[in-house]
Parts: sequence; C-alpha cells; structure tokens
Amino acid sequence: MANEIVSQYNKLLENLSNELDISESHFKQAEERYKAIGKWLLRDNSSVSQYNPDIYPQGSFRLGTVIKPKTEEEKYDIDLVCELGITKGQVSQKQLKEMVGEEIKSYAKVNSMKSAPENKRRCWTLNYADGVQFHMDILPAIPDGDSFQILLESKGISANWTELAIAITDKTHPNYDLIADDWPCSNPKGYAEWFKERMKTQFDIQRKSLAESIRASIEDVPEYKVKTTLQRAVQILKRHRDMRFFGHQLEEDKPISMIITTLSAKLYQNEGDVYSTLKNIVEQLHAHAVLLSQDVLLNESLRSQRLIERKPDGTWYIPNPVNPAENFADRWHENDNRKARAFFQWVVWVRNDLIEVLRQADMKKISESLEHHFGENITKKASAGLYIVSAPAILTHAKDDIPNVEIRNPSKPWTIGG
Amino acid sequence: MDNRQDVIHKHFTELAEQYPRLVLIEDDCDTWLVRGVLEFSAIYEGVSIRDNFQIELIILKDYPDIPPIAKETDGRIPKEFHTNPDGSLCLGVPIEVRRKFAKNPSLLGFINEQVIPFLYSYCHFEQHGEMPFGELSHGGKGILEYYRQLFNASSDVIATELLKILAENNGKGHHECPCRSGKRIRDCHGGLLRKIYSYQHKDEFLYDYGNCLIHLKKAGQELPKSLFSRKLMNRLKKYSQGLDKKEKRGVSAIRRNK
Repeated sequence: MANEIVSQYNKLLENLSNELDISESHFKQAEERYKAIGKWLLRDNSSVSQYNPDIYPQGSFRLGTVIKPKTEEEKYDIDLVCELGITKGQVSQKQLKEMVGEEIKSYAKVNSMKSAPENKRRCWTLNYADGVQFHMDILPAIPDGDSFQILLESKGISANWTELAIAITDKTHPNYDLIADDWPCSNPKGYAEWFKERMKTQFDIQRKSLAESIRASIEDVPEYKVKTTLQRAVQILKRHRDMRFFGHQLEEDKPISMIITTLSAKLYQNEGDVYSTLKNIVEQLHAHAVLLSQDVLLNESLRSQRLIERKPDGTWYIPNPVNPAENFADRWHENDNRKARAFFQWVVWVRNDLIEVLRQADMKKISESLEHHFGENITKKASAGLYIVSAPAILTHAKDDIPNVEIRNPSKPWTIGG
Repeated sequence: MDNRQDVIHKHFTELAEQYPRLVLIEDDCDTWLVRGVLEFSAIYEGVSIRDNFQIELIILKDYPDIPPIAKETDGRIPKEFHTNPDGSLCLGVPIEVRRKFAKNPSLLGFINEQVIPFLYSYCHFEQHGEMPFGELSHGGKGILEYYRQLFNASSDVIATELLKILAENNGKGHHECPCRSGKRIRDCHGGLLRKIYSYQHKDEFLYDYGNCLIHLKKAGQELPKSLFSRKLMNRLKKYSQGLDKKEKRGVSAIRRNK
C-alpha cells in the first residue's frame, strides 16, 4: 500500500511539472519570434549581417526548466544571446551594444511594436504587444573562448567547455566605452552543455522511450520534448520557491534560479522518479545548514562534494560550474547572512512541503497540502484521477524523527515585575 | 464537564502524535497536567535548533478559554530567564499569550507557537548569548512597549490612553481617537480595540493599565489628569486587593497563580 502512495505521488509531481511547463504553442511562438529576429539581423541591408550574427536562447528556456508565470498577467522572460563575430580589438562594449541595439530598434519599428526596446545594464529588452505573454532579453556578445581560458588559468582553476565562452557588455563597467580586453564574460552554452551532461543517462532513457511510444527513431524526437526527472524537479523547486517567498519578509533574498539549478544538477544521481530526485537533493542540501554556524565543519563526504562552501572570513562560495571564478553566492554573507538564511529556510520548507508530506494518509490529503504551495488550480489539475486512500506512505517513524517547527511571528519574552 | 474532558483528551491525542514522550495526568477534577520530555527541532530564519526539555503544562479549569501554564521542570532554565515568580515560563506579555492562544486554542498549537519558540529562544541565548527575537523590558515597561507596538502609537501616553479605553470598556465610538489622528474612535482604532477586548477580561486590562501607569510615574513622565479617573482608580484598588484572594472568577489563571 505504501508503495502505491509513493507511485501515485510521483505521478502527481510529474503532472505538476507538466502543468508548470510552457505550453507547446507558447514555446513555438517564442521560438518563431527569436528566429525572426535572427533573420532580421541577417537580411541584406542589415548593418551587422557581415559579422554572422547568431541568436540563441540561454537560461531556463535552453535548459528545459522554464516555468509558467504565476499569473496570466505576468510574462515569461526569454533570455537570448546575440553573438557577433567581432573581436575585442575592433569595438568597445558600448559600440557592440549599440550596433545590436540599432538593429533591434529597427526590428521593433518595422514590426510596429508598442514600445521601443529598453537599454538595460547588459541586455536589450524587447516588449511585445498585449496578448503575447513574454518579453525577450537580448544579450549582445562576442566569442571569447581563448581569453576566457587564459583568465581561468591565471586564477589556477580549470573548467570544461571554455571554448564556448562569450564576452558581454555591461553599462556599469569602467571600460564600457573603451577598446579594451577586460570585458565581462559568460558561458551560457557551456553551462547548458554541463547541465545536459549531468542528466545524460536519464535523458537518453527518456528520449528512447518517447521514441518507442510514437514509433519513431530517436533522432526524430526533438530534444525539447524530452524531460528528465532533474528538469521536472528544478521546475517544481522554482515554483515552490516563488510561492513560498511570496509576501514573506525574506522575499527579496530568495534563492536565485541559477543556485537552485546548479545545486540540483550537481546532486542529481539520474534517479528514475521525481520524488527520489527531490528527496536526495533536499536531504543533501539540508545537511549543509550547519554551515550557518561558522564554528561547525562539514563532515568529509559533504565537504568533498564542494557544493556550498564557507570561507574562514565568513563568506560563501557556490561556483558557476563552467566558470569557477563566478560565485553565485557572492552576497550571501551580507546582512548577517540573510541570503544564506533564506536559502536554508527554503530547504526546510521543501523538506516539509514536498517530502514529509508523504506522511499523510491518502492522496487527497497530500494534494490538499500541495494546493497551499502550488495553488489550487494547478494542483487540482495535476492530481485529477489520483485519489486513493491508503495507509500513510511512511509507516514507521524513525526514532530520531521529530517534528520540525517553523517559528513565525514569535513573541518577545517578558518578565513580571521590574 | 464531560465535554471539557473530551476536549482535553482530543487535544492531548493530537499533541502526543507529534510529541510521544508526553503524558496526560488528571491532577484533580479541575486541573490536568501534561508532563514529559518535549523533543523538538525548530527553525527560525534558516537557523535550526534541536533540543529537548523536561516540561509540564498545567491545564486549568477554564481551558480552552485560557491557555495552559508552561513550566520547565529540570532546572535547566535559570529563574532569571523570563520566568514568573511561580516558576512558570513567561512566554510573552499576558495579552499576547492570550491573543495567540485564542487563534489556535489547542495544546499542540500552544506548544508549537509559544512554548517551542520560547525554548528556541533560550537555547539560542545559551549558545550565543543573544535573544533571537529580542525581549521586552520587565514589568509595566514591557507591557507598555507591547501595547505601543500593537496600537502603533506614537507615544507612551497615547498607548496608555488607548489601553484606558479597554480597561474602562465604555468606549464611546463617536469620541475622538486618542491617537491624534483627528478621526473618531470607530473610524480609527475602534476595530482593533474591539478585537483585542475579546482576548482577556476587562479587569486584566485594568491590571495592565495600572502597571503602565506605575511605570510611567516612576519614569517621571508627565501624565494628563484624565488618566486617573476616580472610578478607574477605585476599581484598580479593589482589584489589587482582590488579587490576593484566591479563586476570583474570571481572573486570568496566569495571574491567579502569581
């Protein structure tokens, strides 16, 4: 009976991640739009066509971990890179930003878009008219594999996929309008390759079974249609974070998607189901909470994973796997470790809301409890047809299994007399 | 009476599911005790603490209209750390303890929302020497701090004037609100006052009021005469004499135990 609940719960989690997915039509629409921009950049009288502009998605859209916005009013952020074949010796950051900007602006004009593209710190933001549920952040970039490799070597670190690195622009950079070597760098393609490699086993299994189910060859199944348990788990974790921190005092310090995605991928063991995937991720992250008290050391096996590190000066380190010089947790120590505390608070929430929830006696109760954290509509859809009543999934309490209390609005102690 | 017994049994069962090392004892026909080891793990803003304490809850005859009294029975928490003269834990100012309990009047709610946060606070203090949620001043000063924050009042005197309305319970909604907003009470603090009024007896508000006055006087604060109406002063006198006589109906068990 207990196993039955676990498998039903897995079905529910899987459905939930499907509900969180971008719809096929939105996906196609977004894809068409960015390809249209690519065509525009390559047209005959384009001012940048000579540099072979390549426009490609990065971030969650590329990783297959994109989630629907919480409400119809909110929009998807589609992050794109616009890479031109120029070198740092030819242009300044500012020139590159403006070269791409001119073309994006004329594209917006020709397509009679509501507003002109916005010139953000690193990218151009293209806002589509009402009724299109996304906007696009276009990041001007140039290839930067060689100097990136040299930079990492000079810091004594190595990483894979350095040849895919790009140099990008930043309006706040001191040499923004000079021809200079020290551009900010990034490696979104490299990151995506790393992420894909982390889930390769499951990816191949899923793709094969999908191909079999539609009697097609493996190559006929487009990559974006394949979803591994890692991608599903990341989608669920991201939405859980958004809902749990909504209106919370720590909302501004909620963990960023890159941290959730990176740590999950690092911990992923190619588990065959979403529940086991989440359970493993959460348990391991939870074990790191002791880092909050600085005098405690992680045990050897946790330390060797180098997942989250605490430096002797109290700062935190979560490296970008393809660029260890980039620290995702560079601001975790600020304000009495507020971001770190928010992170570990969230880990406890995940454990209570997504793992411990299996203590409930039946699927109906489990689904009711998930409604609090994912919204009524989406949970109802995800749990349709799954209700069965059974013994609690986790039948025996382990001896050291004590309840977790989350303290909210605590009273200040007082003393009579005085 | 059967009804009350059922309620206590039900509440205890719910509690024991989470904290199996606690037992329920019938002390006499009116009072029940919950005793044993409370083993917990609690988290506040990401910081987890796991510990266990030997505790006792005293369930008085007005339960669940009033919260139980909580004690730590192993002598680990020193007397100087927010305990009442009778040794019970001072979880917060009485009105706050009442207010919280009224929202979730059960043993499990009381343990999770009030006792464990207190113990967490103590453990944190033991380990790091600081109070994670802060603490209120002793006596009337702390009571006043609490009400001032609750009313969002701009001065101690204004907070006391608002508290006076609760102690008198003859709030005239059409009068001008003491908070100087220029609005009438009913359009201003009226709703909040009505809500708070339901949490404790008006004599208990009188007690809080008296304590605030004593503190303000001691602090040399100049006070408007209106705060010392004869009727109120007579009631206060009678009330403090009555406090010595036990078993005064309707009086907070916390203070009755004092």
